[in-house]
Amino acid sequence: MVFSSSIFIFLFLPLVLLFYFIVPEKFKNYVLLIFSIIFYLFGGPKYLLLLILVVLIDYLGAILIDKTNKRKLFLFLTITLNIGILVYFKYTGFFIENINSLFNIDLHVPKIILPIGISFYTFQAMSYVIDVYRKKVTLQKNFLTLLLYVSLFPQLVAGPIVRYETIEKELKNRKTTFDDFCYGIERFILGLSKKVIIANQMGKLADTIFLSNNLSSPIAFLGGLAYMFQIYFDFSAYSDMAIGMGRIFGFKFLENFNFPYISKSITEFWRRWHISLSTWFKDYVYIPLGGNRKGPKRQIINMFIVWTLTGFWHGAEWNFIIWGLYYFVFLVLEKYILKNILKKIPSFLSHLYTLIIVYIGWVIFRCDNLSSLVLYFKSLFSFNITSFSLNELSVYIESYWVYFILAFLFQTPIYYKITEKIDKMKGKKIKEVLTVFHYSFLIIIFIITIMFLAYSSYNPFIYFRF
Amino acid sequence: MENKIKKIFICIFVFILMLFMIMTLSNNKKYSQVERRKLTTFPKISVQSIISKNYYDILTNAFSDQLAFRKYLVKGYFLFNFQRYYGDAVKGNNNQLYSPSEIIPPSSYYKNLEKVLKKVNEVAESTNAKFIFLSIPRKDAYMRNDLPNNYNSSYSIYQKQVSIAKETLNDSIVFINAYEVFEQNGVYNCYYSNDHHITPRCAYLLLNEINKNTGVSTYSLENTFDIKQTIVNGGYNRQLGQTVKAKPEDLYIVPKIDINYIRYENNKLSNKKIYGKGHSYEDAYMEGDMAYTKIITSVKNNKKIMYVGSSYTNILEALSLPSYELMTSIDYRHNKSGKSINDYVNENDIDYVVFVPAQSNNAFSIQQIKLHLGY
Repeated sequence: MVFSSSIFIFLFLPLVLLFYFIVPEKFKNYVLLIFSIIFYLFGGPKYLLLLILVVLIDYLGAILIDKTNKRKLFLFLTITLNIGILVYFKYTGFFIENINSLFNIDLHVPKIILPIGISFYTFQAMSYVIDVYRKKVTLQKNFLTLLLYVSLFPQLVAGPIVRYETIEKELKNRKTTFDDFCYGIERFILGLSKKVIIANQMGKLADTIFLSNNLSSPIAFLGGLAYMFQIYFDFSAYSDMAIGMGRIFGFKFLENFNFPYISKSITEFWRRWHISLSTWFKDYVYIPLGGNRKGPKRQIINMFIVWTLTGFWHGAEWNFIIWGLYYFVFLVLEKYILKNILKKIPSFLSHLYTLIIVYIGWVIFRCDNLSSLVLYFKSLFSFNITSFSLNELSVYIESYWVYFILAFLFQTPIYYKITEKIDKMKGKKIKEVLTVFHYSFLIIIFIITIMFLAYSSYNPFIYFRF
Repeated sequence: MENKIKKIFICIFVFILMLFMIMTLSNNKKYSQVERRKLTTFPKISVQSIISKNYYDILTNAFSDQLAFRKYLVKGYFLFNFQRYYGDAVKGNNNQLYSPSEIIPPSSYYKNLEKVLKKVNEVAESTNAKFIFLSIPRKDAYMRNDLPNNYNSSYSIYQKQVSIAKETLNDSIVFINAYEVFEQNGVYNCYYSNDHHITPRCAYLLLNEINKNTGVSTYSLENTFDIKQTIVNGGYNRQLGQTVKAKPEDLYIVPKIDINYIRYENNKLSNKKIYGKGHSYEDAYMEGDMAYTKIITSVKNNKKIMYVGSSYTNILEALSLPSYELMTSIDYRHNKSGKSINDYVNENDIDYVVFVPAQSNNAFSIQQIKLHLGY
């Protein structure tokens, strides 16, 4: 089930809201757990058992780490089991295919269906175990509470990767204030509309162009741009909805995106993009490896490991690994060479530099295989501009200009800046009028989003793949 | 005051959720007239169903299909996109109507397409006749200058399908890409403004391409037929209650020369017309779609052709008569004889099979190809 489906919005969500707010405090976690399980059943009932198994492994692992002297051993075993499950379901096919081509053999490639959200929930579960080991969090003795933490439906299938320590207290005791509820709805509506109105439309255009053969340069450029917006609005929208729903139920998830396309360096971009993943790798891989504490050589090796893993986490394809390494190169360059240059040059140039690097990165990310990647780059940099291609470009622009304008606007913090200004206004009447306008705007875009939903049956979330 | 506004906002949001939930669950529509398709209805719940993924998929589809106020919401969507809503058609520029955008197929579709094209290879290999695969794109893949706002042309999808077909089909099968033929001849208006079928002039271009491969010398269209213009009551238009008035377009063809023939329908002598009149595509050629047509002409060149397809072949059949001694056609949507293409080839000693699996909502419909193979 995806958040942007009518069944989620008009059946699942009202029911969970209804039950959650009518039951007494002590049953609220059970309501959320039951609905989270129902939510996951829509992705395939048999994988629910896998989810429970992962939680059970981490539940028992954490107990053994906390209660015995062989803490390291049990940590190692628990992490190995988690990674083993992830590798088996996500990477088996990739490894066998590559072994086959490398050694020119014909090993059977099993068709293993990727359980929804496995990359997210295994990472969440591992963070809990590692934090128990580090004594950053207390042991969770109630299995159902731990299961709720991992399976909590707002963040179950596409993140953000919520650390146990972030919601440890809220799992025990939380309150939804009136303002939380209102903010949660606002965030949910904004996310839903970003996904349905902008990301899906950009996705339509990007899919059309990336599917084509013999692209001219302007069209190839437009396809990359559409994908750049699609992936941002798709993924950040999901995080918005997750954060919004979390807030409705009294959880305060950390932000996952912070307007990454306004960044002025790649380093800054990665501080703003998929924050929960990059901080996860920083805290659980990069720093334990030594981070920057063991000299530049070791730091570069550590960064190499982290960015290879980051790429690989996104999918079992070479293009994702290349994409990760591509960022590794630029991050190292910025650390040692470009850092000072980027500070000195005018900010629009550093912004442009970042956008170009990110843009090329998304093209690498989008192309399913190396040959299509090479073809796309050829089209992009062939500078093949004909009157036919310009005509085609104008057709696309004519069709999608509204969505490009919306995308340009909403990839900046403009909405939040305006609402912040309204909140801080001193004139009572003007503030009231603008507040009415603010919430009317939300209701209107909610209705428009429902229209888009009713029309569109093509609605996959990209990040479900991971 | 601010809290009051927020309370109203929350109430409206919750009201919308509840309203849609109740109204949708109380819906149980089985068929959508506008979309001309069966709607998914809510499945019955049982212990077994709960552990089946299929159950959840049906439930999700049913909720989308039964969504309250769906018709009005879809109208709203078209208005938001500055498109006029016409049931199952969308209005573009110059009074052109198009089918709704083709949905981007998943990657599994292309694998299935390959498989079904391999079946075409098998059928082609099993017959003694030369096999010609004629691919006709959707109107929106070709006539892209008049697309509605925010309309996603199926051009790229079509190109990919064509490249798969070219790679997969055997070399012995002749592949004709109507898109290329139209483009090479510099003709843009190959489809009716309010219909998805092709015009006689463009069909003639395709026939010439077929004739090149069958060794039949072509004739001059102008010298052989009078092409009459009329306001076409196209497939889209009829559902729209004549709301779009198109300009007169080439529709029916009147032979200038004597074309003698004997027509059989399902092996029975038939007096149905080949060159009709009227305002619709069906009226104009062959009197519409037929299960199995066989026409013996007075041409003596020992060339026998068979069309396998749907309504898209009607105009081709009508135009073929001056060129072939025998023209047969099968439409497996209506033909329930149980006979295969090969049976018909053997029965009539056919030399050329022209396979035209086109349809308005997808140029390379896997179902349509399977259907036309007689499966």
